[in-house]
Amino acid sequence: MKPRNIVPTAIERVMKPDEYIISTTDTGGRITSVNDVFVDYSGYAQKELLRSQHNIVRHPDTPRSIFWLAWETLKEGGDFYGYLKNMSKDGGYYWVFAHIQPEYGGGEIVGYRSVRRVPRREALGTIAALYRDVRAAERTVPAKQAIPAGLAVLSQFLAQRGQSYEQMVARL
Amino acid sequence: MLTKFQLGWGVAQWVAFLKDKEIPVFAETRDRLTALCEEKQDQVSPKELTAIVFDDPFLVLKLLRRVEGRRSRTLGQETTTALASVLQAGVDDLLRTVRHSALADESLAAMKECAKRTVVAARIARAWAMTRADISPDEVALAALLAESGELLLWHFAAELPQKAIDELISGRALRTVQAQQQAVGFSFKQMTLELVEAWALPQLIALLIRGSDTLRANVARLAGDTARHIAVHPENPAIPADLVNIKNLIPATSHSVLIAPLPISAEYKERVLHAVAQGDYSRTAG
Repeated sequence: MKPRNIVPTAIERVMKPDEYIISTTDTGGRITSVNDVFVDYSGYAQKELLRSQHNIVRHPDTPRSIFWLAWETLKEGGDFYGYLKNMSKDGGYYWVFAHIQPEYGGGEIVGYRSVRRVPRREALGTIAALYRDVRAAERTVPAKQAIPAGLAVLSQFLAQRGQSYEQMVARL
Repeated sequence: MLTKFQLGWGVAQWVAFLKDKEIPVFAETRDRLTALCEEKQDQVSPKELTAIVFDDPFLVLKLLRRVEGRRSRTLGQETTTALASVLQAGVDDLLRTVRHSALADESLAAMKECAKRTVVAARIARAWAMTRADISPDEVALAALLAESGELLLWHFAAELPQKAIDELISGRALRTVQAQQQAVGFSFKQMTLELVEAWALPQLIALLIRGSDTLRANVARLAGDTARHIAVHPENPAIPADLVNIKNLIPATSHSVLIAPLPISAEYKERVLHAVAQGDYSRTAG
């Protein structure tokens, strides 16, 4: 279970180029496997991670609408990639470039596999600013309207660039 | 130009409309075949023909439909065997077919991109299947090549529809591909491909690949398709290292350098990706 009252700090850990955080979840988002790099960056013991919701490492700066977009894409059978700011158990943070894909069993999606690695540093300025705007929009409305409000800001950002979400993320 | 009536069609009407249409070929395919025949006359090998045919998903679809009656759907190999029999029948027959075909509209850049993506996916899928001594790498390649048949046919016969889906994505009105297609035309192209695969009795592996399957072959073909799409979006897409980690997970006995070899990305980016994955710790602990 995600501990309450973790206070985000400004302490960042930067992933090394050859490090990969790999994990799998069931369709409900509960973690079913992790590798040691995940344990290391998250600050949680392996047994704390297994069977916890994957949002145990969610940082409040990462918009809810980005997670909604990821889940909707995955539920449709697509793969998702994007930049995520994750939070360690001690409140510190680490940015990742995440690629998530469905895993199948018996013709059905039975879970998801995520591979995360160090993001392009030069992309983070744009992404952090975008996420700040999206989070601001999410906070100005009641909780139930937060995701549509955040998605509207993301849509406007893409329309200005004339890019799809995938193109924007890949080309930053 | 589609009629107002057609713009309101659902997936069933489009499948009914498309399933008996004469499938075009690319002009480049016709030109390459003609040049090969002129150069080698009777000495053209089936291998040379296969290389050209597998670069044109329209032509492969056309040939598969011709051999439809001669094969069994349950035995995957029969499909490629039947396809090979067409190719072995000789270049004259193939050239006649191609010369009498309508040509795909080369001015549609997005259609060419879609076709190119599937060709790249097929090459990657074949190479990866070969590294695991697959019973028929051509069959895996075929599944990757034909996985976007619905969209390709729409580009030729009703280009307004896939164009509307692209417009949804780049205008920000849709953030996901399937959502864009549903908003634009009321159904997903994946759904349409599946129904066409059924209507044409195409190889089951294609349906398994699109529907989602846990077989290794379908996973290899699907991952090849995802990788080709990532490369098409950007040749240095940061998702490519994850693709390599994921295919290594499926084919652990093959080295990263062999698995990355068929990807049409620069040698310099390959080096960077290989360097990044070389020391990775991929071991997982399951709960």
